[in-house]
Amino acid sequence: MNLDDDEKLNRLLRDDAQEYVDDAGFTARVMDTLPASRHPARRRAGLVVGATALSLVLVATFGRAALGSLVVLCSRLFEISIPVAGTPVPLAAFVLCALGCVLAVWSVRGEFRA
Amino acid sequence: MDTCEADLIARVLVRDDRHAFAELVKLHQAALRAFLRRLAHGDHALADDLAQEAFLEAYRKLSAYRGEARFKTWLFGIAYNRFRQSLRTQREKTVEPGQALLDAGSESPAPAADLRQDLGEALATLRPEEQTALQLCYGEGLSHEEASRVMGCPIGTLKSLILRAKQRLRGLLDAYSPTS
Repeated sequence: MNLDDDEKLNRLLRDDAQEYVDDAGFTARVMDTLPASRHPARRRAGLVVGATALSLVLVATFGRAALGSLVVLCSRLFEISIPVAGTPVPLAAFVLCALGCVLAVWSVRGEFRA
Repeated sequence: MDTCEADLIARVLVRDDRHAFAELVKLHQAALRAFLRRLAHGDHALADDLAQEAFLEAYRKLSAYRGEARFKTWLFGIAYNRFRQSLRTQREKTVEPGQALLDAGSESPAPAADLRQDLGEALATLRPEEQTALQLCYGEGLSHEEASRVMGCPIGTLKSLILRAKQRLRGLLDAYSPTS
């Protein structure tokens, strides 16, 4: 065979590489070897964000008076004593919200560097 | 890099989306395994092990992928490094590739019955980096720049490798079947 013709050799090399490899479970094997989720903090962050959002909704919906009544109701239900008068419930809720936001940002901060 | 692939990569990075990574594996497994099988001279088990390790490393290092090259180029670079590592560790055990072909050629210079088989045997006589350069540029259709990225060498070196490899191939194939 005369392979002086460069194009002939090129074509031969290209044709030789046309091999189809069926998956045959390869992808599943790769997925099985992956390490455990590298973002376990994501679930925690989700919970924190969820709790924060819920708190915000409660505060916005019920307001100080209603929330105070809710606390009184809960305290009566569970027969515990809570000093309701003058309790800064919304303030406490906002503090919790802020804390939740800080925790959420802290727990996911590394994911956006890349 | 197409948008679909970029989207899959983003989903893996941001949400650790395993389904997205599985899609990436499905997209590239055939080409990567075929490439490694040729480099491993048909040792399918070794090639698949190396491909699996390459995907695992790609998953671990995905945040280091900057998108400067195609994902395929980056992935093949990882796989090629894996292949070189395995070659180093097995070097003592490896039979000199191509010796069989050279011996066969000197003993019975009969015309080749199967050109593709001849080519496969002739390719096996090349140095691993020459084989890799040919496979990347002709088999995978990568540009010289992409292939040089995969191999971690300058473009000039890659072109020299291809030139030398093709000269050797011509010599081997002509010697193998000089009259056909």
